[in-house]
Amino acid sequence: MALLGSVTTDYLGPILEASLFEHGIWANVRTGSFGELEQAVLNDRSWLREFSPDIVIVYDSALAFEPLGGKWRELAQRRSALCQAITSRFSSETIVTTLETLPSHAAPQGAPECLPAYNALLQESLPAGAYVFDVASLASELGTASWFDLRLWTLAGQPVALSAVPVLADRLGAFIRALVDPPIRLVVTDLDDTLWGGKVGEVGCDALALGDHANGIAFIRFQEVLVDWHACGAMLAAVSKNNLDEARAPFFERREMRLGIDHFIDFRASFTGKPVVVKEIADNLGLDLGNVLFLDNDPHERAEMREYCPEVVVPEWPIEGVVGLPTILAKGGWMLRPKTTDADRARHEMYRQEVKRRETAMMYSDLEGFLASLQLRACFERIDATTISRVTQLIVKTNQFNLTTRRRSRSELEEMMAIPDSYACVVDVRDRLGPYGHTGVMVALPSGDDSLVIDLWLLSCRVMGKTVELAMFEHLVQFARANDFRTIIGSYRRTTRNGSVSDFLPSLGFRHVGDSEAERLYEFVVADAPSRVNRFVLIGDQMSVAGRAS
Amino acid sequence: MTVRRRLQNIFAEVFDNPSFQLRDDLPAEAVPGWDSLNHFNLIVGVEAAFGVEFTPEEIAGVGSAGDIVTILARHGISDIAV
Repeated sequence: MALLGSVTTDYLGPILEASLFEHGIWANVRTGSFGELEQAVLNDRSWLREFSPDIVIVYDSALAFEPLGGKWRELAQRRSALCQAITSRFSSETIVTTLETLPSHAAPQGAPECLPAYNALLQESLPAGAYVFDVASLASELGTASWFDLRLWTLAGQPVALSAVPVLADRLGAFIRALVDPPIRLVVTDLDDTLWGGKVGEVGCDALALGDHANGIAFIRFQEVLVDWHACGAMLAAVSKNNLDEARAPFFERREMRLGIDHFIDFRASFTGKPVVVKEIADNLGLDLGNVLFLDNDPHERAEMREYCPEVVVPEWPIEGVVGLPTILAKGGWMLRPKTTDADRARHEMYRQEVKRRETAMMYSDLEGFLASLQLRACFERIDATTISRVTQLIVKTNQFNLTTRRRSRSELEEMMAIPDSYACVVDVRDRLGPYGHTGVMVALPSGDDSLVIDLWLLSCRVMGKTVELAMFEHLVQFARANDFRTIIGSYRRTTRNGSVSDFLPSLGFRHVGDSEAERLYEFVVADAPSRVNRFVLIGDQMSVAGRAS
Repeated sequence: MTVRRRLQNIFAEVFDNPSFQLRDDLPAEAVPGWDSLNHFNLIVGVEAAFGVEFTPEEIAGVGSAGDIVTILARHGISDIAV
């Protein structure tokens, strides 16, 4: 890149290079000398010609043209012509800056109305391949008092205070990245703790932080950013680890919501790994993953997305939470390019129809490859004093993958654990990206001579869709076999939340044997167990499944 | 650290020469890389390190390392005063 200017650019150059590196662009930035513009561009023997830049930045400051007066029109025309010359000579893209509003003491003879007029005309008159970087609004954002350094300007032709140069370089870097990188066309957002505060599956719709109390305002503001992006032609998709009904409920039951369900071109609530879902959504829309921005408050989900879909843009979550998100997104500059056009809005409708048309069935090959590569490990531990608090917490909080939804208390749990030959297990899950922690619970009690009755079987939504439940089943079967149980009795107690596991037991080969008041009862004959149902989870066993003491 | 020692570090950084040896009588012309831009970088570095601000005349008058020592002394910064 070449950095030319009507002012000194030597201070900006190296810092811009560093900033671009931070934005993922390895650039070689060369600066022209003070005021060297047309000379460098039009001279066939100039360094610029030999350098042959991909992008030329023309950096101007209002200080360089003071008093601007009636010259503004001519200056805009000169800049336009310069861009034209750059494009035709170097076939590079050009970035020109607007002129900042000057503090009155810096421009005693200034005609302040000329600056906005110049900026507007510049924007209108630029040829294709030339873009305006709005230094004027950045200078206002920081305040002209801290933006300008008049002493530096007088002595070195450097208008911008050295303390403001890194900010300038960062924003300009984001702008250049937006020019160079594929544009973001699809924004994929998580729901829980991203669009609203709290987990809808745990606390229910009414208790979500959303609206006009302290924490809720931040979520509203972030939703407004997304509504705005949508209006600018970006598509939105929701990907949440949730039941579909629950995920959709806040859109209908919470009037504070700024986003409606219709803003989303695709709305997925399932327990499949997010990289798989995002790939599928992008494929359906005919987009490259480089056109996708992924927003999720969960560091594990972000790590997984970066690992499996490195092209997807995954901004880091602000330390201060959602309240900092609009700033991070604005600074990232991801929405700089999509300019609102009727074509953008029409494209959205077209894509929406395309989604309906295409087959959206799961692509098993992809999913299996994904699961295999995760290198999942589940360590089975007998529940003990160190884990019982976490287990009780899971029992109270887990709604979705919870076959019986029995809210057993700590003392009930302790009683069950004390029963001889009982199976009381908590599962510690990790994959190669890191730990999920204690996320699965299974308690089964002996009944009669040779039956094992499942009292609790639940899995935190953090690990749903990763086949941990199959590993749990396999482990239970091993235990039953080692302890001479002939059958395993399972039950499914329907709640409003656990619909996604209603067919889970039959899918494992459990036979429906009857219904009681609140539950469907199933039986599984241990001898019929297939040798291997769990294919993706390596079982680490700290809990003995050895034969029972006779 | 003495004034000269701190100046030596600033010169070494501005002129990108870790083994730079400061001498009071070293004229600007004898230092590779002492152009108008680095002249200003040097002043900005000295100002930031010692918490002073040079007048335009002082900036223009700097022609050697010794000049900086003299100007700093005028601003009340010298090894003896410290």
